[in-house]
Amino acid sequence: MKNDVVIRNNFINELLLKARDKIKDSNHLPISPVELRKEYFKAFEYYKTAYFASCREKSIFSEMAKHGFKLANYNVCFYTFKEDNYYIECPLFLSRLKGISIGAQFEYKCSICGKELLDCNHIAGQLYDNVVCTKENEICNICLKNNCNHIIGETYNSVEALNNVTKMAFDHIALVSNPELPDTGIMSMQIDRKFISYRALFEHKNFIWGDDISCIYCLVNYNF
Amino acid sequence: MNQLIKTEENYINLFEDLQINSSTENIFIFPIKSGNKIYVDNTFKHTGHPSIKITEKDTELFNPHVPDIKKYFSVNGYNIEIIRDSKKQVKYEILYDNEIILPVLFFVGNGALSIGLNMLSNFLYEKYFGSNRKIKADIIEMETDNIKASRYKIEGDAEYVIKAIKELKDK
Repeated sequence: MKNDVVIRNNFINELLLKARDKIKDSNHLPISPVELRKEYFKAFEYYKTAYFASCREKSIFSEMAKHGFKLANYNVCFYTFKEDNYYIECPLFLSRLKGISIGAQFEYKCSICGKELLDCNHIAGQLYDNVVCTKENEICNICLKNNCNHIIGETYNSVEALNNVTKMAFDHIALVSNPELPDTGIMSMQIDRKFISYRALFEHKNFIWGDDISCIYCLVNYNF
Repeated sequence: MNQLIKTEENYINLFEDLQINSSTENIFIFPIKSGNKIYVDNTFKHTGHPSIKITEKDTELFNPHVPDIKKYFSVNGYNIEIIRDSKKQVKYEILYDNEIILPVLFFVGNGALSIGLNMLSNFLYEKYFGSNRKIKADIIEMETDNIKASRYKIEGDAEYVIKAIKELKDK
């Protein structure tokens, strides 16, 4: 049962290692600040996934935000302009928004006895002896394969019990703060036109709609 | 954010409607929805997820953690009573969410409460201790033949929820 916790913690640590390596490597590369931004964004994607997977661990966000602050000082972070609107595509900013969670209705059967889970006593993940081989939809309950040498009706030992999904129907998608699928999320967010006009008023003398406008999120929110 | 909320509510009608003897000491779990009737739902009240309006008439919708909890308790020598219509098909509402939303547990009687809370904290310790995942436990304590019930909603990581359950047990 503890396996879930270990797997998830390892997954988070792997992502953090990848992100740190990416940042370290890009700092040593002879590249322009714009290319550096691209490399940092790749690292931020790893940070974002780790941040979601860890149920929004503060230390992960503050580590990412420190790199964001460094990048913002190069003055290379701009909103993306497309289809007459400004968008923000920075993984650092988007990690503060909600992630995507799927809701579905499942029907289960026990792989050992074929009964509904509330009617059987087998615990998923545990090994059982004297299990009778059956094949439902041509899938063997001993090895879960299509073509195998197990004979229907014979008994086998050390068989792992599993909860087999027999039917599933997706019913909704929701935006939640802690998604189970950490690499899903909002990839781009349109910025309010009023906000852009307000920013342009103070920063540009001769602003034309479509001109570059820098993102100051990391500079303003330097509170980690 | 860790928190423990206590409210007092009336659930005796639920037991009367389903013709369950509320004077016997036991732990009860109800389906989220049976046909179109919602019993005790904490799954969809969870932030972000909309309530499910469409369910087939001949199905009963359960929280996905119900079989795990039932089996853990029965292995340790305690049978939880799951209220269900055996003629109806059982389905589980799975939410791909990092938060673990446990089913609403009805503890009727002091004996059931002390044994049940002990087992619940052991279950959480074995399964989720050491993880950052947020757990939402929903416990309803009913005295036998008493109309009033206390509902405790505990929210936090495994360590906090286990601590809160222990405090609840010792009160």
